[in-house]
Amino acid sequence: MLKKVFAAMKSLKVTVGLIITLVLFSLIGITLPQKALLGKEAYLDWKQAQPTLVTLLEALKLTDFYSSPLMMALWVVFFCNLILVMADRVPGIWRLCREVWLPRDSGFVRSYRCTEDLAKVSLDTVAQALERRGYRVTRDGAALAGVRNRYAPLATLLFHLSFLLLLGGGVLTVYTKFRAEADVAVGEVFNGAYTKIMARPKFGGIPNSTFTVVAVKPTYYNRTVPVDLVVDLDTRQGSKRISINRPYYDGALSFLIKNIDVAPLFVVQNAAGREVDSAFVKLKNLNGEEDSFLLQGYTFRTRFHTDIVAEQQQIAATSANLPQVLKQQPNASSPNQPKEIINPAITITMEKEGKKLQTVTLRLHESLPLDNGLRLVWQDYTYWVNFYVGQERGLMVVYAAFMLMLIALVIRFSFYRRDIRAFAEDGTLCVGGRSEYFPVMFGKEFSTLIEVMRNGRT
Amino acid sequence: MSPWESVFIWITICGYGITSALYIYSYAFKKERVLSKLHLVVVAVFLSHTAGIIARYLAVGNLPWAGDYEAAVAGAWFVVLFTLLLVWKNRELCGVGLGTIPFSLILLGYGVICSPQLTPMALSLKSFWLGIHVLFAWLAFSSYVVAYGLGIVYLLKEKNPQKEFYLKFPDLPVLDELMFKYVIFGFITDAIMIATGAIWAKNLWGNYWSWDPVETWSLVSWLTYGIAIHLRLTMGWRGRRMAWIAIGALSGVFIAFFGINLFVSSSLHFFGAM
Repeated sequence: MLKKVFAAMKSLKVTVGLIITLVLFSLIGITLPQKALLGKEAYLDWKQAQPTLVTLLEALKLTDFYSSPLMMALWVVFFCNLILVMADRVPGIWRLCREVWLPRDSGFVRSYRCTEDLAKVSLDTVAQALERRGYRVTRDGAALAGVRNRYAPLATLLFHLSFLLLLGGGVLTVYTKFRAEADVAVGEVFNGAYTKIMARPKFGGIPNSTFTVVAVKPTYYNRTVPVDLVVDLDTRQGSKRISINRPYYDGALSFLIKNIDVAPLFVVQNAAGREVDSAFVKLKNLNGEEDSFLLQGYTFRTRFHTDIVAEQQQIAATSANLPQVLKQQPNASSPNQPKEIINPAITITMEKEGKKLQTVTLRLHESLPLDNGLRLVWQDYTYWVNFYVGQERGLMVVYAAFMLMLIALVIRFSFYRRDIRAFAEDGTLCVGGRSEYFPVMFGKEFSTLIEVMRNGRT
Repeated sequence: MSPWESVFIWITICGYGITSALYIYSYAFKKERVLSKLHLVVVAVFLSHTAGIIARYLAVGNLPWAGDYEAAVAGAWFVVLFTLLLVWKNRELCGVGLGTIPFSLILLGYGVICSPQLTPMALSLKSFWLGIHVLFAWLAFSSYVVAYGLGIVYLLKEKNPQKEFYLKFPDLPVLDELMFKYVIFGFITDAIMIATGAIWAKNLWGNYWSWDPVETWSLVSWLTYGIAIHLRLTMGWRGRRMAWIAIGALSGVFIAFFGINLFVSSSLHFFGAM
């Protein structure tokens, strides 16, 4: 029984069947919404809308399909099959590369796909013509064998080996994977204080790094479409300039810019103007959403205006004919406001114990009186960067596997093996040839070669 | 679209429309003389297509490799380029345009109804790897389309072996081998596309592989062609079977490039502003 399973697993038909099954299974993963791709909020919304369906899919592990036991089992079988097929083929391929068979008679040569009988052509001429074209020639008496790209079949093994390397790299990646987020404002030092850790490495501790964000420079087209974003860092390796698509690497740890937003500096002053408290507050406001922060026991709900002057002009234009009492001041920034900060302002709603106390729109250096004699001054602002932090130890192995795969494919199909055999019998030289692939193309190559031999040119 | 781009692209669409109709006409009514001259018309339309791309480049400052419209314009251009190169090397293969030119027309039509607006390239697309990734994607896509075109010609010739119209076409083994060559070229360039995509994804999203629908479908298409190669090399599937595989497998590639937008609501490959 075990032998039968073993024999079946070595079959190429099983390989093809497995690939087809993998393709079909991948389609399930595309058809059904996947948790990792939907995002947490959208997934929860979906679950709320269709609780029975989602619970059923979850029970069957179909919402995490690519890491489901079913898919894992299929991959395991696939790689077992790959290893067995490779192991089965190694001796044959090695023998094919090592040994060159000389023809015993002209009948053997005639069994080749392309054959030609040449009169008055010596084996020496054939050998020279072949050698000039990169064939390795072996001779014994009346027999001749020429092989070009003799070791090309080894590339088949290399190609399949690259899959095993991919597997190794993939497994290493899974077990060393670290995913986190870090929010760092301009001037702030990052020293391993991650905002959120999404995945901890199964082996090894949480990786660390240290750097300071020196500057954040966004560039906008029409003040709205971001066309460039540069973040300058001061790192252990010196100054680094990073941007989207150009992360900061500290060993295997990478820091990608995921988003930027505004970090206003609020200072709490007493009646004499002395600083009581202060903080750069990292707000998520630039896309027009509301955010909040706590200070001195108050809750401050904020909305950020990138260009308050333009907003006021727009409001004035649209409400020009309205009575004074109906004329509004901007207190809710639009999601469609320009991204570029030109005339900044913040609309702040102050709350205490859930009770709304006041709403004001502050410009830079303006202040908001608190009810205990203190004042909240908006002193300055800067940007903060939301970094996506990742580490994968197996990445180099994966890239090496890709490289090996490509090299193997190019070797296999560009430098495929050609065999020429010749046997001199009764004053006639019988020449035969074949190639691993592309017989029509080889037929033309063979005709040219025969022409060269017939004319005595080498 | 910029004004000049608009002019050239619409000339191109009309041109491919007319040549597609002429290809179908010449096959349907066995007009060999029309068929043998059609590639000259395609060359003229192709020049207009190239001029449209140049006009776009001058207007936006980048080659067409971002967004559905640009992807369609570049994709159709590569498909026609491959067709012309094939016909240039094998004059008897002038009929391959029956498969590839209508395909380019549909691609361009899809692009024009999608998003031809002039917009600066999204920040996420400003990467050296994007150029390589997209270039190899088009090389793969074009060679798969040419293999599909050859598959159609193979099946037609096989079905009508004695008809004079088809006697001018290369022999079936030649067509079969050419089809296989294009499948292999596509398979190799597809592998490079996936590998460079993984490197770019690591820099952009922090993961080299996310099982994103586009990624998954690209892998599925690549594996499908892998199966085709395995079937041919190990089980001797060639000729008619290979032709049907070359025709059928293209659907997977087409979905990976364009169809995902229709089926899936979220994908990392929907590039936003940042």
